[in-house]
Amino acid sequence: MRYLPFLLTLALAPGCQDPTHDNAVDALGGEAPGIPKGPLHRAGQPCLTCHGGEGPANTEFSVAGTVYLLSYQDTVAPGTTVLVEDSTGVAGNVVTNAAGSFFINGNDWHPVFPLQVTLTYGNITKQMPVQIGRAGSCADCHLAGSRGGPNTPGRIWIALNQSKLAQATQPAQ
Amino acid sequence: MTPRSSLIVLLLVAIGCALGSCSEAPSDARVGVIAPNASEEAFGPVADFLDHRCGTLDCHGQPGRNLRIWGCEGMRLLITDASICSRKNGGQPTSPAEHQATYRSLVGLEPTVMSEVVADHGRDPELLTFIRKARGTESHKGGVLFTPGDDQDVCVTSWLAGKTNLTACSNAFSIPTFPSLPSQ
Repeated sequence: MRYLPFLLTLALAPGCQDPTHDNAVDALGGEAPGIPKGPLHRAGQPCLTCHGGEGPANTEFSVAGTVYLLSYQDTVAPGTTVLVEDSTGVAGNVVTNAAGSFFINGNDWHPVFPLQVTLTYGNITKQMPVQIGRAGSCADCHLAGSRGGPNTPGRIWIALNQSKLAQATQPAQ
Repeated sequence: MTPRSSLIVLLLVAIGCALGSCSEAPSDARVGVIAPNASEEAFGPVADFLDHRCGTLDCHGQPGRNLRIWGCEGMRLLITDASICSRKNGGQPTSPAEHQATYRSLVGLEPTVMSEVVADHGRDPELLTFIRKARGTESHKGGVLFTPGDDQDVCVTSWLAGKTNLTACSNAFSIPTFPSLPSQ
């Protein structure tokens, strides 16, 4: 009888799982070889699937994503300044790391949606033409490896082509 | 009547009712809807605003939503199009066919309520769930978007009332305002 609460908790625990979330996490697959878990891992994936507060990652992000140099190629863009502006008028900057990824820690700021995002890479400044309604993971819509399709604008990129990119000054690291 | 014959009569009535409920409606049967103006002039600007404000890929620009919105800022109708508006970036502006797809989605959500609202010249738009959700009088995952009387609200409700306020629809694009960009 003493163990009844414990046994009941054990019996009910599986019922608290979210199979949709579990499937989304599983769909991401394993870690890429040679890249340990940390700020440089899983570039281009929807970060908040794991870092959105439901686990399995412990660190919670509010907004996160990966920026690429070109529209047609998965070469990442380190040193890009990402300006996030929320609908209450609060704004914050974050810079992409060596994997081209940026993240805003949920403990630091939970911007109020919708959001407006502007990228600056060297002397190139690009404003996202569409507001973000509610997704904190850029890759929920911006699919890595894609130039765009009926349900995606493709990867987030700095320059449409190589000649446009050649005009850019290098960002301050 | 004996109890046994009463039971048989009851059974026959029940079978008759069941058969009646299975009979098919005529294939040409239609349910009439008093629909708001579907023309490109009247609904096009409303559809463009809805695409901008509600139809991003992370909100109603998804096939799984009851209210589906099509357009260049979100979900495209043609598989050959991308969710990009700018031609120089490889995109295509929203097409009239996408406006019509959004129209059918919106009107088809609650056709009888829509009929009532339109027949009453849009006097009580909050009868419609999508207006209640946008105004926040009903729970909405996307939050409160419209304030009654603001340009967004007027854009949509004026269309329901039969005369789209094009100025309001144009101004609605600038809501919400964001902090000014850094100098470029």
